[in-house]
Amino acid sequence: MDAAPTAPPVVAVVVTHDPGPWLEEALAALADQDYPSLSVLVVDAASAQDPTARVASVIPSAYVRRLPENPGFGPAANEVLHVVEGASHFLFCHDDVAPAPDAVRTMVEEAFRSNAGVVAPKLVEWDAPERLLQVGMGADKSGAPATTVERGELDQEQHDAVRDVFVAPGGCTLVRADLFSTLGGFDPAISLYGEDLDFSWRAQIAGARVVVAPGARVRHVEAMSSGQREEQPDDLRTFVRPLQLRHRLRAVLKDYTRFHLLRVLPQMIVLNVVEVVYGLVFGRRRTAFDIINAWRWNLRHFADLRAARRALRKVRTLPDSEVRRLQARGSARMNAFVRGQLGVEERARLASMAGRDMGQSLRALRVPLAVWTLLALVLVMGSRALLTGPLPTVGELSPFPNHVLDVVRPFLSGWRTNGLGAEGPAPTAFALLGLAGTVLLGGMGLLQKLLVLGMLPAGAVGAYRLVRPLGSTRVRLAAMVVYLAIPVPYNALARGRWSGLLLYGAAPWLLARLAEVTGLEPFSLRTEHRALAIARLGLLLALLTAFVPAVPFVTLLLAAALVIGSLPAGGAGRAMTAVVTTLGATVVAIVLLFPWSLDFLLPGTQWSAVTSAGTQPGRGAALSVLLRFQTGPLGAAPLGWAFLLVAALPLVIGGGWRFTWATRLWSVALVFWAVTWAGGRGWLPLEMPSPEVMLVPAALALAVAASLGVAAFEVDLPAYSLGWRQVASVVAAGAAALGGLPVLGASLNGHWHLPKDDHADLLSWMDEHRPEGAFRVLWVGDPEAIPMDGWRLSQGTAYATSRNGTPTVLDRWPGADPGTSGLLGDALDVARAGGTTRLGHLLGPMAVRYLVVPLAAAPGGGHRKLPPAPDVLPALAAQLDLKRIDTDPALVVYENAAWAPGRALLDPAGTEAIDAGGSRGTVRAELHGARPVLTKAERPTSFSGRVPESGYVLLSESASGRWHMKAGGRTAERRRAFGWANVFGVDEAGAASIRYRTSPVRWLAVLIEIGLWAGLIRWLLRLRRA
Amino acid sequence: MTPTPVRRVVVVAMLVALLIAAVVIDRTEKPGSSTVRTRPGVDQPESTPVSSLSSSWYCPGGNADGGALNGAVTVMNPRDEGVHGTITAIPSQGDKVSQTFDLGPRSARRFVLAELVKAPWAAALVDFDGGGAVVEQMVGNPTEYDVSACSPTASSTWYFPWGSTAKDASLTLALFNPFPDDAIVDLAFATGEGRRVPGDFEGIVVPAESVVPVDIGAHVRRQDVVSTEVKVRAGRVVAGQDMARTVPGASGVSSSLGAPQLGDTWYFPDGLAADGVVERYEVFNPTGREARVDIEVALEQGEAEPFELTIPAQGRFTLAANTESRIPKNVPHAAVARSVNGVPVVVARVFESTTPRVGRTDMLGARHPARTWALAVGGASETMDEWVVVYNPGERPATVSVGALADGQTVAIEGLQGVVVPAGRRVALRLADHIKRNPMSVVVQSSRDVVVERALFGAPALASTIGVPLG
Repeated sequence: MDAAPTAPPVVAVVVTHDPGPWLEEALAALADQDYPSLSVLVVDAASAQDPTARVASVIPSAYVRRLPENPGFGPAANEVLHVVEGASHFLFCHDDVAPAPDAVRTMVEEAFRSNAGVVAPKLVEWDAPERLLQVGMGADKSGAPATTVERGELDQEQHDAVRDVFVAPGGCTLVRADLFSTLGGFDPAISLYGEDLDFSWRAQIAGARVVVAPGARVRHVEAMSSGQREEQPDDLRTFVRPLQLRHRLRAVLKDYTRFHLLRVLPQMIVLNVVEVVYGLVFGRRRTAFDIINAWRWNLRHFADLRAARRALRKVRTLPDSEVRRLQARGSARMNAFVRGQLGVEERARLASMAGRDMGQSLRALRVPLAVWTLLALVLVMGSRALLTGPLPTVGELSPFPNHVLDVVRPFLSGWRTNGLGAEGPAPTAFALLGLAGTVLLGGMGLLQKLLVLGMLPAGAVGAYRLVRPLGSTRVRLAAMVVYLAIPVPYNALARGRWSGLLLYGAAPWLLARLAEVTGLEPFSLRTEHRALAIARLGLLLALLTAFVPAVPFVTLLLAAALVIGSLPAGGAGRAMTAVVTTLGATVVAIVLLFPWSLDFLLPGTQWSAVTSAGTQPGRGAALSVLLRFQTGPLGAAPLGWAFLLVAALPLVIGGGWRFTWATRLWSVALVFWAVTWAGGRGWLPLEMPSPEVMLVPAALALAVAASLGVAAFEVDLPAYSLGWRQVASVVAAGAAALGGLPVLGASLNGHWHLPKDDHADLLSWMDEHRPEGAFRVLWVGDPEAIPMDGWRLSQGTAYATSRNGTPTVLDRWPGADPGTSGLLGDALDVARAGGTTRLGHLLGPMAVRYLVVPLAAAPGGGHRKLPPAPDVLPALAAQLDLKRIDTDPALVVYENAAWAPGRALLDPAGTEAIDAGGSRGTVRAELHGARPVLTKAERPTSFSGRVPESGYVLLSESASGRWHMKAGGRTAERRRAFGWANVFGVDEAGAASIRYRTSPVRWLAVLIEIGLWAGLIRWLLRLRRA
Repeated sequence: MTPTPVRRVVVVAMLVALLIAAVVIDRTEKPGSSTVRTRPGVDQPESTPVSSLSSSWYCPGGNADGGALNGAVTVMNPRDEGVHGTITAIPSQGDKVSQTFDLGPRSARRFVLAELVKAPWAAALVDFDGGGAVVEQMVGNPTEYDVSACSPTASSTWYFPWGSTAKDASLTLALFNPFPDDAIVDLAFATGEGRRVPGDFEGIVVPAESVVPVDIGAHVRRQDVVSTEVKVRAGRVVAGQDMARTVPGASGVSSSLGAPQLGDTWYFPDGLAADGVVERYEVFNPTGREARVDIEVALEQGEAEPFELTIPAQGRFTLAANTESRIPKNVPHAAVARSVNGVPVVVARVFESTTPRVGRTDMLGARHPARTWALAVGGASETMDEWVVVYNPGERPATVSVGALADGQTVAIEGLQGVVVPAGRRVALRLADHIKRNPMSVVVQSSRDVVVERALFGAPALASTIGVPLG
């Protein structure tokens, strides 16, 4: 007689942790199994109360193993490897699953029939077993789940075919014991959420099949996800999401071979970056941070990851190409995004969570997404030439240095290289650029494009967020579309007005802060901390002011305009809080920008340093031009008038806060138009910032007013009977549509009419002359024409310098007080007054080799003429020591025949001249015989090289005792030359170096500045958390 | 809170009213124009301010080989302090030669170009380590000469209303480029036969720091009257015109600096129509528009109706005072030429004298009146008779004093102090009646803006030139 076949021994491994009342039912389900060789091991993960008695009451034969700590499901389940021998299969169960009586048998049978290593059952709802939870699971290449079962779907046996799946979802899984042992069990680094994906993946790598046996039905409480456990985090979302993301990423980083990892990882990075941006833009900051933290966590566990990869390599029998057959094609998250189903899997787990998830919000955003996509297409199309090529050096668009250190060093050194150089704090913008460049891994070119072209979408997003309190999605879309359709940013770009673009990107955020602090309906302050509001606005102002010093002035004017508008609209008292907050925020910004901000507060400051290339009195645009925002190629009549019509709608049909805010916003527009116009006429005592800056608040005001029109259309119009108001609405809608056409048309241009060529191209030959000695280029001309900020020479004319060629962003912000560099202006003034025909001699010791007078912002025809003051060109033409160099008609370039290199060994004639004090002596100085020395420049304040013979070495930098020269190992004696420069006496030929020694005070100031920023940001974060 | 209809109307009305008001103001008010400083010497030679760091004067020069148009340069320092200077003679052939000099306070010095360089032609660049000095040049020989101011500025345009390439005349245009880069010059002419632009006179290259004498008669042949327009395509130059005539009754040498700019008003303090003296006004209109010019004559005795002239575009006109009955014979007069339709022109006056003096001279009018004038070249002796003619174009009398630079001082010439020049009148002062000194530089000071001309009568030379205002 044959022996009766013996069923393979199966050990059910139930991991418990503070199990709920369902435990007994779950254990009873195991006890009721019709499988003859099933034993039960309960691994208790440090439950507060020992469950042994509860287990024994249901399955007396069960073995209970208690762990001192809760390592998570996977590591706890791994205990089976230490306590069980001889089992054929393990059945890993949560403590909240109840298998049907035939479930284990069905799974074991299927394991043998299919020769599967892992078998998953059909998971159904605990209380409604006819509703499906999961029947196996898929995943895409990034490990994102791709479920084929809709949660709650009625089970009509439609998924009952046995099939291979990529993931056997956790809850209840049958695993071949030898496979489990070979793979080392679950990944011990994965505590919760993700162990199923990782194990199934590794099982397939080891050559095992993972199948689902729908005939095995298992009820599942999903106690953790449904919030039924007693001791679990308050905010499940913040608990579960990070674990899911980091464990998925770990699985990807661990389970692919290197080749596939190289293919998949870049795609994942792009997807993650998109999600982070999305999260930041749409207020899902937690999601964005979770993604970032997932990467951080995995990088921190890199060593462990490498070890796990090595271990997996030993058991690998299938290539990735085989394993990936069962992965979902494309991106499961993207597919879900498109179908509006993203988050199904998460929602299944987090069904009870409060609040919206990403998928829900995306469903609500279908129309906005279409609009967003269209706008993005227009922006990309309009910027395509600029995205793919370098930005031309036009106006304020100076190129960024190639290396991060090139902006950081000038910030730290304490020596400003503008003009003739000076001791003083460098602009904080250098530090911010350095920081941002570091974040972008040194991509300074990318950083420039982000800070220029990125301002368009930044402004649009800001407008969208600004009007959130105003109402529906349509209202928000209207604000965004109108803000993008107003010509201000495109004209700013066409004229190279970076400051205008920066303000365009930031203005909505500024207005949002101001509107919030007023608390005027429908805006409200989200915090009761007034100081927090001031600090937040102050931080924003500091960031902006570092690049656009006029921002506090503009913001204060904006706040004042809100007060003015509130006089007829009501709420002037509350609007005054905007003024007070702005004043406080300005103080915060000044403190944060210390000590650079002192530059603007000390005596000798030129107001032009604040306004940059401001509106030149007497040269302002006509009012009609300003009203249409036509400061550049866009905005021509008649379509340029369209947005005034659109923005007027809430004034005539709006009720309640729609009318009052429309009044305030029109006040803002009127104030900025008026100030810009009056400044252009020379009616104001101070020069105003450029129209591209001043018109941004007006443009934003019109955009928000237009959105108020939509709000009024939705809220107020239905209350009126059919009449002129409906007609006005239709007219406004038509005007909005027509008003956007010029921008659409301009997008065909591909570069928003920004000139393709620049002065830097024309002057690139200057680079070839560097070996002849360090030199300066003196730029003289209309402030809008010279490609950097300069010091005022006279009304409509400024001067600035660049070093060894065309300017970079390092030349962008000169000191507010020219100091010694004022000598450059003095020399020019002498020539303009006809006081010399030897200007070259005056500029020679200053190492000014070239004088450049741009007559337009860019070369080639078709650009607006920007001539300097009428006496500049005749004065230069009258000089006997300036040689004209032929170039583009938009440039007048002279070479100084009397220049001396910036570091020069003087001949006897030059030596004789160094004691010449003042202009009268300098004009007679002959430096023709000066030879360049120390030609190697390690940085702007450190030079080295050989000095061929003894003599005097002229250093054309403002005199300072912190300049030191060493020659032949000895310190050279320094004294003043020409009354302002440095000269060093060198006794013998040999190797030499000149260095500027940064003052300890400067280091202290840098530390203070960093401390201030860090302190404020930390305080803001702490208050925010609180 | 829903706005009341009245509130809504008020807000909308305020908005509309503000916009309308602004638009109205925008259309009526024009942006204020910025003040532009004018460089001294741009439209007529003028000394730079004493406070200048340096100043340069450019003399188109003359022959430096003993020819008929021999050039000499006189530097004058009317300042209270001495000044250091450098004169650089730039020959048309050969290398330039520089010579430094120190000029004491209130003094003058003469340099003969041929003593510095030997060349068919030489120009001169005079540099001063300061401002306030004046430089004039004399071209000719002991018996026939002319004086003109050197220029403190270069220009991209120069105009000469009158010249002649008649059979008995040689007309030379000196193009002087003192700058370190080359200049390219185009010449155009207006003659009795109309405008001419000879191909050979297009694109003339004037190398850096050089002078190029151009023989106008070589291409503009046998024209009794030639007006010349110099246009600089690249760079800047200084242009002078020298002419020598041998025809009986009109023989002599004339030298003039061109006019760097066209102008609306030209002043001529001296004038005389008499038997044996031919007085002509040459008006050149190089613009593309017809010019209407009035020439007002201020007689020493009586009144005369102004001449109303119409000068065609790119054309010229000669007003012969001798043939005009409204100008009485032998009555000295001043003249002012004004463009009345805003089209700028350039005007010169020509004298040709056979009795009692013999010679010829031409000169451009003055562009602006001034209070202090310097006359570097001159003298009062048996061989040189210098007259200072002062015209007061103002509406109030001016008081004029004349001083001579001598021994480092300004000597007030006795009898020429406090001379009253009535409004709209002229006064001619003969220095030889009060002082005997040759050579002699003089300074004319006036209580009001006047125009000063100097006439030099030699034996038999005749020269007249507008003085140089002191900045």
